[in-house]
Amino acid sequence: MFLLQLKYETLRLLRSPMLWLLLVFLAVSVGFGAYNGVRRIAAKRQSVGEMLAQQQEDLGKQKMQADSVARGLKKVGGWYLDPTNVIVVGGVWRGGWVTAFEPAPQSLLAAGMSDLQPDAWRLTLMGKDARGDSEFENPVNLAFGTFDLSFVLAFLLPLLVIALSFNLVSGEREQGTLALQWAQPVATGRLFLMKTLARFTLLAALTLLVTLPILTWSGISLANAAAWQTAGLAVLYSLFWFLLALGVNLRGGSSAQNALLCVGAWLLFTLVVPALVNMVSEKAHPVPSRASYLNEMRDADAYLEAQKKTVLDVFYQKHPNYTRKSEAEKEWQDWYREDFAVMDFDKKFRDSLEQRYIAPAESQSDFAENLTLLSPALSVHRQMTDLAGTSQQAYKASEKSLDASQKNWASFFLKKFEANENLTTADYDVILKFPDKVMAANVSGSSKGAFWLAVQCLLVGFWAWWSGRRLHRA
Amino acid sequence: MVFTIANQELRSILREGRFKTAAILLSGLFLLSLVGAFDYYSALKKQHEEAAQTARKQWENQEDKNPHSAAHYGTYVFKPIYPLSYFDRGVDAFTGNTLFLEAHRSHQSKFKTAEERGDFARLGVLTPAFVLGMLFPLFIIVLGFGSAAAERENGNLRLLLAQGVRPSTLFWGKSLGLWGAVLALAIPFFMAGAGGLLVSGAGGEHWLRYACTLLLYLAYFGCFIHLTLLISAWTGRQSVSLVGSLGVWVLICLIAPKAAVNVAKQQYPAPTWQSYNASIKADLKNGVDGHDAADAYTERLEKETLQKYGVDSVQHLPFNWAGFVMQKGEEHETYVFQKHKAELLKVYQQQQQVHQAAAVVSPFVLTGILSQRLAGTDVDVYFDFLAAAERYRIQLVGELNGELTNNFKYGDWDGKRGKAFFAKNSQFDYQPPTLSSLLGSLGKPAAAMLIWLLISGLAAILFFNKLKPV
Repeated sequence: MFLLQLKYETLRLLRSPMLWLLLVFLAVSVGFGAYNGVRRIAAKRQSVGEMLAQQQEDLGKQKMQADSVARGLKKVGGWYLDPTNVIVVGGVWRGGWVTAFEPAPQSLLAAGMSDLQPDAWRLTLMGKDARGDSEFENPVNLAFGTFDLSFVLAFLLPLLVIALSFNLVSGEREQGTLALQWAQPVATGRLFLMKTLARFTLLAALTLLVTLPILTWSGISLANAAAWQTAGLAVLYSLFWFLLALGVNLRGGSSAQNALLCVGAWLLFTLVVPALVNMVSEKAHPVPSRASYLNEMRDADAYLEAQKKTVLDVFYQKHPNYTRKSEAEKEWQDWYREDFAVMDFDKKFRDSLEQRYIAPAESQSDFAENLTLLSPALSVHRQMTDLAGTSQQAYKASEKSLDASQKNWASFFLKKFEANENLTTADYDVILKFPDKVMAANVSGSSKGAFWLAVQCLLVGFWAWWSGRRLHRA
Repeated sequence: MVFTIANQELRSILREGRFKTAAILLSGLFLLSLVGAFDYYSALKKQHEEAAQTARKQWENQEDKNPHSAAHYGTYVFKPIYPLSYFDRGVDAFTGNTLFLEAHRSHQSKFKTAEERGDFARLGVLTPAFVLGMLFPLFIIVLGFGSAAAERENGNLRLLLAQGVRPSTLFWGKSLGLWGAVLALAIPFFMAGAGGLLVSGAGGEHWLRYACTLLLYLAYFGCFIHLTLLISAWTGRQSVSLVGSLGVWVLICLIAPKAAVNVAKQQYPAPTWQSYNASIKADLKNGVDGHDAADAYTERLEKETLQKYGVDSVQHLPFNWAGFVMQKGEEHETYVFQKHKAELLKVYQQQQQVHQAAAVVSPFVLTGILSQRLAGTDVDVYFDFLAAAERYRIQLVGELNGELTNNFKYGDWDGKRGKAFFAKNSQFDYQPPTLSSLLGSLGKPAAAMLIWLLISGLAAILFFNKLKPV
């Protein structure tokens, strides 16, 4: 009976001009979203490629100069211009090593935070500085947001599902065909179940038919799990809206009432609830403006300067091999040795100040994420940005691996600094092979969005069943 | 007859359950948005004002130092928060709110609020502008999608036409009735919205801006009233009218603004980080470097200055050469930074032209542009703030270099200035563009809005004229 129903539903829908119109609309939207994603990745790769190519070129030239200096063929105007000097190359003010985020093919799925986060970091001996095209992003573009696949899936796909299912039962009733179906020598419940299943199968097939080829065209091969996860998410999300339309239909209203209710639910779940969640999160966990942070950092400079003497006392006690010198006697090595000696203390203190801003921002974000259950659009947004590796969490995870890289970078130079050694061309060969790309980190628990969506499907399914029972009793 | 139809339309709308439900929901959301947004605005305003005062105190109370060292120590300026930003936050979350000013460098502003927020923050925050711009049109659609279609479907249209009612009269009556229902909700919203201005004690300028904002939103609602009536008359069937109106809303409020972003970025890409910084670096090399005496341009300037003053050494100049060359370097650096910022601004302006072009299909984009401009939260005010900050940087560094040039002896790098001197340095006092100065830039989009209103109205009348009874 299922196949019969499927055939009947297919034929019926294929004759509907609305279906073709909606299919074209969905295909164009998915295509445009994917195209924008492809362009976004290409722009990121170009930007990152330029930075890294420039770095290779500069260091290549510097290596030649270092060779000339080491052989005594070239003189430099001071230690701060010496290409064999560890501070100059390792980087405090200049120098350092640029390491970039490499966008994965699936990052086209969702722009997420990619237009606000840095594309690369300059690793130095004392930390890391961000850089990237987000510095030059037009605020108007950021405010409106981009047209990506995540937007198509979260906002536009439900409209297609609603348009094809808002009159699932009411349409039959209004045309008078429902009574005819119930007159068939088959259990009503079974007939209805098969019809519903057939309609959803058709919807799911259409979703896959549109999604998978476009994903493949845009560079996410079918061998990539992200393609199937995205398609699966689209089908699951379609199921949510289908069950919701079914539940609305089972309340027994007219097609016009059903359409209004379904659209009302869409509005509630995709626009109102996310905006409310953000507002409530902002209220529950206010994040202080960074304006005061900068002033605090200025005060911290004064405090740390005052503490420096005490920290250095401990350092010189622990390292009797170094002689403490007066300011007039100090060479550049002595200045930097003291800077490195107080570096950890400084960082710890500054990090503790920064935590006053980061901690509330994280609490706000966690609070909002805990409200994911309230809207399937939030679940989809979360899953898509996690899959794409463009979520805030993904950037934070990637930053941790960058911190590890920074430590490796710094330790290479600090060992030489302590041994009072200069860099050789062999050292340059090692430096030039230092990893300069970090892949977007996999977010742990990256199926959380899909999990919440499954729970939402169960809840709406239960509601649809309850509506059906109530109608049956009535 | 127009008023009879309008009266009947209004009464039937007010009687319906969907008006009551939609009005209650929308009112709840509007009030919530107002309270939430005002709370956020007042906290942020206080923090920025305090930060600005602290930054000035830090500048005045910095330890005694050479004026040029003070120029490197630098200071911070903070973007002011304007009274109407509780109504429309505009691009505020996406612009850096802090700018570091120092010698030789023109920094980008830092710390965009949105950078630190969670992923969901990109889906929008409930503000009064969000409720009026995004949700209120849906209220209009829900009330008006059946205006013409229902009359046609239930046979009333035939009766009305038989009684000699002209289609245009029917349009005006339906339109007025819908306006009545819209105003029944919009007027209390507008009055409640003014509460924020009252509490913050904003001056007359902001009240005038608010009045203009309200006129803008009324015109925007008018566009949606016309569109809803147009689609209702065009389709002649309630269910198709509803789907059609919603489709148009999705296009206007969701698709057009985002699609415009992608088209703008693809047509007029901003420079990459590398190319922008490489161009600045290259241009900086073609001028005086105040910190490098061996620089060719510095040497040429030295030769020219010695010739001009008829002396053989910079030590014999009637001023301190070190301060003079530092200022010359600063002037060259400022020229380079301003040149590249102007180029970047040109790209932004080209991108914004694409956004404005999207207004042809989307009065939502148009309303957004005007509403943000009136609230002082649009990108032009932000750029104006950046330009003012840059002018202040040049002025402040100029004062410090001037002190070094005129009141320090050559080679005196140990000389210092203290609180008495730093307290006399200029203060940053940014005044945003006044409403009268904005009139020029408001004229074109406001005219576009009126054209939208007029054309949608004329098109609706046209379709009412074509409306045929069942």
